[in-house]
Amino acid sequence: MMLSFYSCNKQTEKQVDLIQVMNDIENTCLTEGMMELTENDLMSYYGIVKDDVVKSVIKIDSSGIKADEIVMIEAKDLDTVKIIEEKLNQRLKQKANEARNYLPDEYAIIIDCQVKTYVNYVTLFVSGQVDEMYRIFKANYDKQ
Amino acid sequence: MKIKSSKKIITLTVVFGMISTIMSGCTESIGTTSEISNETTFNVSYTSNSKTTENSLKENSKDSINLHPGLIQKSTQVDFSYFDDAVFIGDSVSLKLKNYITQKHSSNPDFMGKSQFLVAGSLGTGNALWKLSDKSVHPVFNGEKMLLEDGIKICDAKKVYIMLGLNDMVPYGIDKAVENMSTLIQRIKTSSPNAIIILQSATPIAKGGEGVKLTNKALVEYNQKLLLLCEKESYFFIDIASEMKDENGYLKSNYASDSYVHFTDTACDVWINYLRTHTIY
Repeated sequence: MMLSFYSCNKQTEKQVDLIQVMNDIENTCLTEGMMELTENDLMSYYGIVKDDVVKSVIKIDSSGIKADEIVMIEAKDLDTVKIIEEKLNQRLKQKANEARNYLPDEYAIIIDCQVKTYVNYVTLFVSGQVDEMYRIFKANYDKQ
Repeated sequence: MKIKSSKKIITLTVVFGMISTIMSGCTESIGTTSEISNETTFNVSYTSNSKTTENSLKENSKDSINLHPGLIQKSTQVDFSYFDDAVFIGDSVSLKLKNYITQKHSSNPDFMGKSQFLVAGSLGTGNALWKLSDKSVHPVFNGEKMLLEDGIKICDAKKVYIMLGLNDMVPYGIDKAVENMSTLIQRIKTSSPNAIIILQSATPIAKGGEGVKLTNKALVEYNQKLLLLCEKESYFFIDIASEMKDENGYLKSNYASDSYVHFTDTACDVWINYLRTHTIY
C-alpha cells in the first residue's frame, strides 16, 4: 500500500507549495463537503506528533460517510517520514475496515488508494479522482 | 478578578445549596432503582414492555439537577468546560459530531471543551465486543486502534457518552443489541470503575431510509430498553432522539445529510445544545 521514491535513489529534499497543490486539486477535482484539518488535529485524526511535521495541508470529508481525504505532509526529516507513512497507512486500513460492510462504493474507492512518499513529503489521496490528484502533486513537485 | 471570584463563590454556594436540598429530600427513597424512578425530582415515566410509546421517553420541561441515574432532565446550560472530562463513543453519526466540533475549533478553540472521541464508522454494540484485530472496526485513538474500555482508560474520561445501536438492528436485533450494550458497559466499568455512563438514545432514520429490521419503530423499542437498562444498572440516559424526530418519528429533513441516518451541521448544533442543557450535575 505504500510507494517510497526516496529509498531507491538519492533525491534531494524539495520545497513544495502544498497550499498551491491543494488549490490546484480543488480547481480540478470534486472536493465538495470537505473540511480542513490543522496541525493541531494531527494527533487526534492520525496519531502524528506535531513536532514531526514541518507543514501539513489536509482536507477530509466532513460528513463522516464519504471516504474522500487529501493529506499532504512535509516531514521534519527522513526518520519521521517512516513514522508518518506508517500512521497514514494505518488510517487507510481503518477507513477500509469501517467502509467494508456498509459503504461498498466508498470501500471500492479506498482499496484503490495508497500512501505515497516523495523524499520528505508523505501523501494520502482518497478519492475517485486519485490519479488526477497525484498527477497534480507530481507536477508541482517536479517544478521545484 | 475579584468580582469574578465573588461571582464564582456565590454560584458555587447556590449550586451546593440546591444539591443539599434535593439530596436531603431524597434520602429516604434512595434504595432500589425502581424506588428512585418514582421520585418527583426524577419524574420519569416508562413501562417495561416493548409496546411503550415514544411519549414515555419525553421529559418534563422544568429545570432540575440530575443526581440520580435514569433519564436526564433539562437543566441550566453548562459551559463547554463541562465536557473537559467527557469521551464520546459512537458510529458514523458521532464521527460527524467529532468533525463538526473540529471545524468549530478554528473559530472557537474552547468549543465543547477537551472532549475526546472514540468513534468509528460501522461501530456497534456487537462488533465493539469483538477481539481487536487488523480487520476489526474498533476506533483508532491518537493513531492506535484499541478496545473501547482501553480507550476510555487512556482518555482518563469521567463522563462516558455512548451512542451505539444503529449498526446492530440488522445483525443482532433489539434484545441482543441491548444485551451487548450491557456487556460493553460492564467491561468499561471493570476497566474504569469511576466512569459515569451516559447512554444516548439511538437517533431516528430519515423518511425513505428505513429497512426491514432497521426501522424507527425498532429504534424506539431499543431506546426504551436502553432506558430500562439505565434504570436497572444506575446509568444515565439522554434522549437525543427526541430532539431529532419529526411528528411522524422520522429524522427531521433539515437534520438529515442523506436519506438515511446521518446529520447536518444544524443537527449537530441541536445535539450539542441538548447535551449542554441535559447534564448530570
